[in-house]
Amino acid sequence: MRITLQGYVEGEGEGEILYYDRYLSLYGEVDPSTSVIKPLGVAMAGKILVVKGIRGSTVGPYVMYALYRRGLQPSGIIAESIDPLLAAAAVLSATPLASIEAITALPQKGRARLIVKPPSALLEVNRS
Amino acid sequence: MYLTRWEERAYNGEYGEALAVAMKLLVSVGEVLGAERLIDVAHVHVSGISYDNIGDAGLEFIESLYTMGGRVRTYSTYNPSGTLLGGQGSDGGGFMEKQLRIINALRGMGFTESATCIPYLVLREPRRGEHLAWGESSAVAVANTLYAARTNREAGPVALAAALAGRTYYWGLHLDENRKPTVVVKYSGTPLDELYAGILGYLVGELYQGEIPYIDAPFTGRRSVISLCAAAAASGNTAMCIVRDYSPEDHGRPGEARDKLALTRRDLEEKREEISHADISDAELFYTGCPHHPKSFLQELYSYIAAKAPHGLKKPMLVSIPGVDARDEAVRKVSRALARLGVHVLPGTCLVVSRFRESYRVVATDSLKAAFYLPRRHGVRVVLSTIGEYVAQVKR
Repeated sequence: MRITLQGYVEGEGEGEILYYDRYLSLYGEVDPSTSVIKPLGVAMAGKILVVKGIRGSTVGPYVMYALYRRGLQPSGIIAESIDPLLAAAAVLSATPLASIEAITALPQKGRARLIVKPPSALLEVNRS
Repeated sequence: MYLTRWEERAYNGEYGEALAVAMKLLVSVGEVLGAERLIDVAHVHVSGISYDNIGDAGLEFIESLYTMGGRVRTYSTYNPSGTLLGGQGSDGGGFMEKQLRIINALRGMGFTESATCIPYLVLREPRRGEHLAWGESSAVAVANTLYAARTNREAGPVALAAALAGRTYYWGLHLDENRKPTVVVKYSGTPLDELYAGILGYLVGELYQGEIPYIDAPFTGRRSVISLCAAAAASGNTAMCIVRDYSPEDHGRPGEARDKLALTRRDLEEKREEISHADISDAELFYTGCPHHPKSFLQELYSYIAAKAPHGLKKPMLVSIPGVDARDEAVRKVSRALARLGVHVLPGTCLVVSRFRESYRVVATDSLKAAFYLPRRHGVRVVLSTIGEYVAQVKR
């Protein structure tokens, strides 16, 4: 399955899809030492994070930077809404960033590869 | 992105390594968002300076810009830190030493002494229409909503880059066309105090991500509107509201809106119940001052508690105020008087970004911003309460 997306931060990443159908506060809702998204209890390190967008504190991008320094950043991020905090978090963590109008159009699980070459991006999903 | 000749040279490192790093970050983020150029800013306010929040990675990021020779190019201030300003450490383990390294790096780069999240009240009042680069979510919403100044929600590291460059990317709320209300929230009921304005903000933030809400509601004063802004910027990503009777850019209810919502006191009471995870009798302390209270609040608080609880409180109350006021003799005097009643003043820090809360499990607060972060960041249970309710519960 191949899905065309809008591309924002260039790069390629591969991993299991981690689907979070909400807005995420990187500060407070993500453990900066483990990358665990607390409301889900699942780490985002090495995953393709699919999320509605970012909310909360402007300190959040420092959390993503700290994860990057530990090698615990996601392999890629796909969001409905690209705001200054998500843009900064992706740039600081060298994480490929793409967007789609509604994340409900994406599969919620499976192994995926995200290839971002702004202004477009491609998501390849292997459901098996 | 179009860059002027000076910006291009700065980007290429001709004016030093720190400025080059800052320019590259600003341009990268700006290009991701689709900005076409940069714009000068009159005031930068950076978030993310508490060591408790940013850890070694953040410390090294800030310190590296300083050691590379970074200097601010516009008036620049910073948020509360993880310790009392110039005061006692909050624990061992190198926390204090690392926090001071962050503060020293900021001072070395030319930041003005501040340690507060209300720069608009105590440091420099924003002017209508001027461009800022602020990275404290509550202050961003207040600057846009109450002062009609223009700033996006800058990430902490990006605001720091803007300080060194004296500019930020020209995008989002810097542009006229993005400052119009997109949804309408009507509240019918008695004027909203700090607590209930915060509850309304919490709801608005959750419901309307990425929107500019028009708030048609009565408030008891500007502090309540600040509480609304802070809560909406925590539970959501609200960067600006238009508040009837308070926002300079209020031109009346918009004719067209993507959504309209009508709320009553009952809706806010239900939300209060949902957010509170304990009973007021379980609270081990009360916390107020998120965002910081101005120093004038301390005398009001003293008068109130001295009248309502002349023998003091059985359980403590903590109040956060700006760090710049820590050495003010009048503040010290009223702080000593408050301490005798069981109220402790925290200059330059707060319960969210420090480690003062570590020995507490249940905190009562009138701050919805604190109520959002304390459980998520620190595993603390919160109960929403006014100062009056708490004082009535714990007076001797």
